Amino acid sequence: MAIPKLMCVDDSPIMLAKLKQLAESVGYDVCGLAQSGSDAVKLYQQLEPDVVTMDITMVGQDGIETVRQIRVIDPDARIVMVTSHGQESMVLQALKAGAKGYVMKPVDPDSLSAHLARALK
Amino acid sequence: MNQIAQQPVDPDSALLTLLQKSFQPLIAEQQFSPFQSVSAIEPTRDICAMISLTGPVSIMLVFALDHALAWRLMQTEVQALGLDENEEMLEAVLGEITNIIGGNATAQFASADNHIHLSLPFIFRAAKVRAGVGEVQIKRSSLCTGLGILDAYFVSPAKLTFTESV
Repeated sequence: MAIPKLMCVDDSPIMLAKLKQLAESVGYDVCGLAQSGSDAVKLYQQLEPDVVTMDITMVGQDGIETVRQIRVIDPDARIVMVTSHGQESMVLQALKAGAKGYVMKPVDPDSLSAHLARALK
Repeated sequence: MNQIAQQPVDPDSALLTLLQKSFQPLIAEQQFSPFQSVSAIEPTRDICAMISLTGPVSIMLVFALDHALAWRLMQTEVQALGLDENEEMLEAVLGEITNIIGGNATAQFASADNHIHLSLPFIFRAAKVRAGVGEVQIKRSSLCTGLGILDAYFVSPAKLTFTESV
């Protein structure tokens, strides 16, 4: 089975690096990193990843709007939100926008692996 | 959202536990002092990180650090990730730590019926912070290290004014 391609979206370079490291440790090919919602939409079209991790709160275009735009391009896009406690209402909006699930920060390898696998089913 | 705690907690002890857990892996074995009431957020340190929780409770968490200590925090994080050490990363690391502490604090104070909104973390350089209009309770816990001091402030209700000085 081919290694699933993952794109990570977060406005924090630290979180992006952590997610990349975690995702690679659980067997994903991290094919792209985007630090803004608008970059994520462009990169998604270029890379066509199998699954995406998406920060909810980003400066500028937030993760919910980015999910909407990606789902317009690809209605089957598999997107897992990365969120903190205190953002429950935004998580619900993201799920309504088409996200497949969410994982809470701080993200650990087991939780990330489980949520990504569920999104890919 | 099934990870939200259902039982009321003592805010001071819950926050101290969070602080110790969040910063301990980065700064060896130092301990935060118990929270004590203070009249203001001072002295001004080199860099401040803040995040607010609003809803049934209104709380602001402010971390004021000496630059050398903030730099060590950044180094510890970025070296493990193979990233460059610079001031931008310093702010990113502080923002991420603040966000995670705020998120965990939210989980402690929220209930199934009362959701708390968490703001984005804000970083201020050489910020002068003063209490806003009205009664504000400020408590401080400090971490003293060889590289400087980290003051953690617990402000309720969340009414503060920040003035950034160059």
